Amino acid sequence: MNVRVPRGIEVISLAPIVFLLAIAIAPGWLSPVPSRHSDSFLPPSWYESSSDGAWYSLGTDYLGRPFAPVLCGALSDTLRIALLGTLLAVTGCLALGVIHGSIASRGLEALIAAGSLGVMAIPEAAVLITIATAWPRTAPPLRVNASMVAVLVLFAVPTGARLIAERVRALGKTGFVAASHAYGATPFHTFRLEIWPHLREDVAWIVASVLPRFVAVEVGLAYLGVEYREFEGLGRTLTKSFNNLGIGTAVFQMLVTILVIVGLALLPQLLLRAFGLSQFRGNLP
Amino acid sequence: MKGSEALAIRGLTVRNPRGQKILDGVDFTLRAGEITALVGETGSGKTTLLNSILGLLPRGLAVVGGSVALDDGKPIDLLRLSPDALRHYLGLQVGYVPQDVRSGLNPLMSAEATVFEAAQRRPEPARERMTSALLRAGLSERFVEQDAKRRPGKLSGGQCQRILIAQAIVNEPRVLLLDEPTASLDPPTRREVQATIRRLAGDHCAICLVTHDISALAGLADAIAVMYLGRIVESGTADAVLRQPLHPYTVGLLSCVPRLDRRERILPIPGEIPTNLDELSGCRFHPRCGSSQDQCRSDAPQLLEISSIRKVACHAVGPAAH
Repeated sequence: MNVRVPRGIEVISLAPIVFLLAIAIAPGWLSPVPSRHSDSFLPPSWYESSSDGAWYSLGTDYLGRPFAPVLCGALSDTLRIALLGTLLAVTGCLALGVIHGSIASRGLEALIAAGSLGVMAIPEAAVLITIATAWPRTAPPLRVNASMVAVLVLFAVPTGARLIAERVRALGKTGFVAASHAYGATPFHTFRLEIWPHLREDVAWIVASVLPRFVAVEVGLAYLGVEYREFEGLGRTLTKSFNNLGIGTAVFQMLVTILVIVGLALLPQLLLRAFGLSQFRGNLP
Repeated sequence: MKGSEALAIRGLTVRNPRGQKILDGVDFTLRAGEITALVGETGSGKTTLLNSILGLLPRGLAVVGGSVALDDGKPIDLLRLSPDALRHYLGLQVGYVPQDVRSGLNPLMSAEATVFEAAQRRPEPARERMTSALLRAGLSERFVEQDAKRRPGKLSGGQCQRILIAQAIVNEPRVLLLDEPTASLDPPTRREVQATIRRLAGDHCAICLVTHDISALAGLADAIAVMYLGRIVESGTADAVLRQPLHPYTVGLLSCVPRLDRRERILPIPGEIPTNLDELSGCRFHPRCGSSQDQCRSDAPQLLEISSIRKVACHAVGPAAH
């Protein structure tokens, strides 16, 4: 029994916590606030007081709603889809990686190698733009959105699967895995006890690289008009807000946005460092 | 019962993907209460032999002949069992200590967890048996109380080796396979671990001790089988083999052992273990043998009984020559 709290799990568990927090905060703040078109695009109140004396810490959006809760709501939606995509990517990486690491199939090796090369050779954004714009306007939004998530997942899987496969292969050659087989443990028991604890850090690294990509790609491509359909995520919220702003407020909101995106992108990496996982990895076989 | 056959290996043959015989008709018997040492250079097939018994052969290697009969009231051929059926005997009847001390222990698992997990194979309370196994493996009560919760990285090589032994004996198997258990230990710790192994044999456990260090076997092993390129070339009681080696390879192995009481030069065995078995015919040792004859190049010698306590596979030392 490994009684120590697994460090990888700590990192992974933070993403749902952020997501739940965003959900918990956003609807309460967002729903009761009526749209007041006359108050659209107001600057932050500490910069310029509003005429009716209301306080808007980050100004208002295009519908006259306070921008801070709108940002929270959009972040919540974005994280929801990013977490779903990350979950799919991690599942794909684990399934493919563990199978490949265990059976060392040449066909699978060729497939993963080709996938890794493909990921390097083909720009992810180009594929996403092509997919998003190729669908007719009448196509069901769910299908369009699913195809875009699928592209992001497919781009994430080969690298992660290779990482997992190499780890599983190395672990399979260790004496403790042999000893586990030799004392009669079932393959599942051996995987759960001897192999999985070593994969947790790899999973944390995959999450740390995939989750920010989902957010950054959605927000970045939204400025080009490429976005999930019928989806009020961070990308759409920001682009709509910026298009009609005065230059001073726009610059301020843009800075806040960049901070949010960079913070989201860097958070997992910073957490990995904070928990000392890079040092921890040095102990692994 | 001491001296009764616990594990009998007969004609065990393993092929690699190129069709070469990595193990070639190995005959070998482990007896209750005895330590049987399997000696040979690196690459002679000792670990492959253990892996064959345990069903742990690497991909590409396959058992193509022979039997491994475990005495479980009636003989059970482990090679004929399905993986699920084999698991019924592994750990409970046959214990195993892997080769590398550091790689043998999960770096993320505490010492006691390592033994505890293996102990859970039996329905009886695992914690008591875990403590008992740690003590029987030669670890102190102080270690069990204070240090057993540590991970391998915080333990010495000797402690790690004993934990591996405790893991293997926690279910009190009747056969214990030890792969180079003292290879990476300093001489005092090696002696202590050897004493522990000796004690385990006293508990009527049949022990197979794989080693490349023939000098470590004096006073430890009851019987010795010398292996070269997948074949047993000499076997017999430890006393007889160490005092009067008959096969040129055994003579060569013993001549490589430095001795303080003689001022002789150490004479290494000439050449290296061949890697291409296809080019070898007859006796596999003949390219390195100082007394090889024409017959050695064409005919593979059989392991023949020289006396009640000796078997040798050599044309120069066969019954006629003897």
